[in-house]
Amino acid sequence: VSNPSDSIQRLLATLNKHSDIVSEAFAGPVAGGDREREKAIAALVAVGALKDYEEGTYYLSASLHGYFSTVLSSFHALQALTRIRGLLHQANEQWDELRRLRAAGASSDIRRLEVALERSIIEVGDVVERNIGLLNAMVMGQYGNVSDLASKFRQNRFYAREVDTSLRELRQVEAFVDKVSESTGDGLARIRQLVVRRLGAELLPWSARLKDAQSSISRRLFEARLMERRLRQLARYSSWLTSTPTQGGWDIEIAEDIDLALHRPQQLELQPQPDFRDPTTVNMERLVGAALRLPRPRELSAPARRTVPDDDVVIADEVLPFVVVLEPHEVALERLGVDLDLRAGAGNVDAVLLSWWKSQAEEAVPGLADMSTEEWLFHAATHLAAGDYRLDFHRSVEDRVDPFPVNTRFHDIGVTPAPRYARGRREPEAAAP
Amino acid sequence: MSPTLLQLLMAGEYLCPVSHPNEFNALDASDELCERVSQWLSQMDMRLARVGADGAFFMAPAKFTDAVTSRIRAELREFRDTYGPAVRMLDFIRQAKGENATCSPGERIQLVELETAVTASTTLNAQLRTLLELIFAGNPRNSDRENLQKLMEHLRKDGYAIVADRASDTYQLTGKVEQLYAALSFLDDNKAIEEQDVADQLELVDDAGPDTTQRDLGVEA
Repeated sequence: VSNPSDSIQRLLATLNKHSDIVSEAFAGPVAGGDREREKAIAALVAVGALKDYEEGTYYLSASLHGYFSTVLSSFHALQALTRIRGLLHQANEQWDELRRLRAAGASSDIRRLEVALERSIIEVGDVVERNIGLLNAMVMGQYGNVSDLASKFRQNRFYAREVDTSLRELRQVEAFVDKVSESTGDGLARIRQLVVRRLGAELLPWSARLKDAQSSISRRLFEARLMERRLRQLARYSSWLTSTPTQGGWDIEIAEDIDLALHRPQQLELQPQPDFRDPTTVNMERLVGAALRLPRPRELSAPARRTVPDDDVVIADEVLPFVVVLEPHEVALERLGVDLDLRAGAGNVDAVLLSWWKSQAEEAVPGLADMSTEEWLFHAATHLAAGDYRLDFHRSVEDRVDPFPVNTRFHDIGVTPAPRYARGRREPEAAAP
Repeated sequence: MSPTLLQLLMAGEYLCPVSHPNEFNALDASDELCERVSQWLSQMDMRLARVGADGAFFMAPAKFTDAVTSRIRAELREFRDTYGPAVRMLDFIRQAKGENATCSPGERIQLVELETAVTASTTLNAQLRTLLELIFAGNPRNSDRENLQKLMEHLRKDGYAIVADRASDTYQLTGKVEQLYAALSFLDDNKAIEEQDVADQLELVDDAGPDTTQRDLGVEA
């Protein structure tokens, strides 16, 4: 008796030797040719890899074709899922027989039957996995084995039915798992574990994957129906347009709850305007750019000479001086400027706004006392900051500890001429001879 | 909130994955952004809307005022001018592509494919000639290929297609075609055309599969 592993090696060697013909036969029937080819085909027929098809042509054996299809995920159009009903029936019978043999104590056949049952269980799992792989390859690959759209739809319908059948078969697998799990005390714990592990534990994932495929198929069926309806609509309305050239359309009452999609958006003409309130540098640059692009103002021409009687013209014989009356806070600010200049000249450049205000508000600047300290600080700080002065907001320790201040609190403001002041840009008097 | 997105909506564009993938994906992924865009549009009594549940985004009126309903009514009264050209051109494409036609967003249309069909069929050729009056710059003196290009360009300018690949003259239909179908469905719901009205031209079987239906749809205008 030859060793089985030797036989397998010889088989594989034959397949390997003529792999080109095996590969060709996977795509379709092969025919003979020269002597070399005939010899190769004969060798493959001898090991059962090729079968007679017609006179002089051969096809790949179904089991080899199935193996290659599964491994390569290459399936032909409308390839049915493999039924597991037969395998399940076989496993059921083997299980029952095994229990009978156990009960009768016929131990000699038990081992052989156990191996057979194990094989059946493994095959059930393999077949379900293969079916799911086939479905995924087909559905996710948009039935790439055909290019015709109608044929794709037919395949979609076909696989919808196949998934239904597979889901029903999974319920039969579940019944078998329940049956095996429930019977205890028969010394078949190993088989029970195998059934639970290989089939019971996989039932939910298998079911979920099949249902995923089912939902994809359903969605495609819906899309197909929708598309079918739409194509029909296109054809009908196009036909109506050509067959009734004198009609323009239909006067239909529009309810308020109609599909919003019927509204065709029209372009809204809006002139973008710069936001003057936005002080960011980018916006300011845009504003300046826009201002520069504006046309230069036309120079005003001299007003046309009026042709009115002389008694309408009033000739002033006196030039009245225009006197600007400054408000107290404006006077105070001017004085502060002078004061700061004097301090700078004396080498003492710093001033403190609040104390300065207090020193002036009493009598130096009449009316300044009517202004609140907040108003003074705000007014003076704004104007000084716009000039060449650096402001230093004096804050108490309590104010500094706040890590996230909403407003920066301060109790006074120190004023120092900015460095460029110190460089003498604004010291014309000192520089003059 | 991207200014481009707002500008596109304000320009009356339909934002779909084919025509404006970035803007569509941004809106599709964020309800918050949709809300902000709607809020911004509300300043002009408009809002963000979609064609169907997951179709293209577009700018719709915040309320159905009399002016809005009057305009929709007028557009349907003038169906031939409003929707007619697109309906006839898309139907021509459907016939030229035969069973592979979907006339749905995303469908790719190669000019060479249309040209081959027109060259092979005198019926389609004649049909293209009758469409020339609708096609912008279509001219009987042009070659078939030139006229087909004008047809596709017409659809592109109307927002129903984009150029997917200029080198191979491949176009792609956009989400705006969904709007066309919404209008046709509304007309169907209101029984604008009875099936019997066009039964002579179209022998359609409602319950047949798409295979037979689409074959039957290959009608001549």
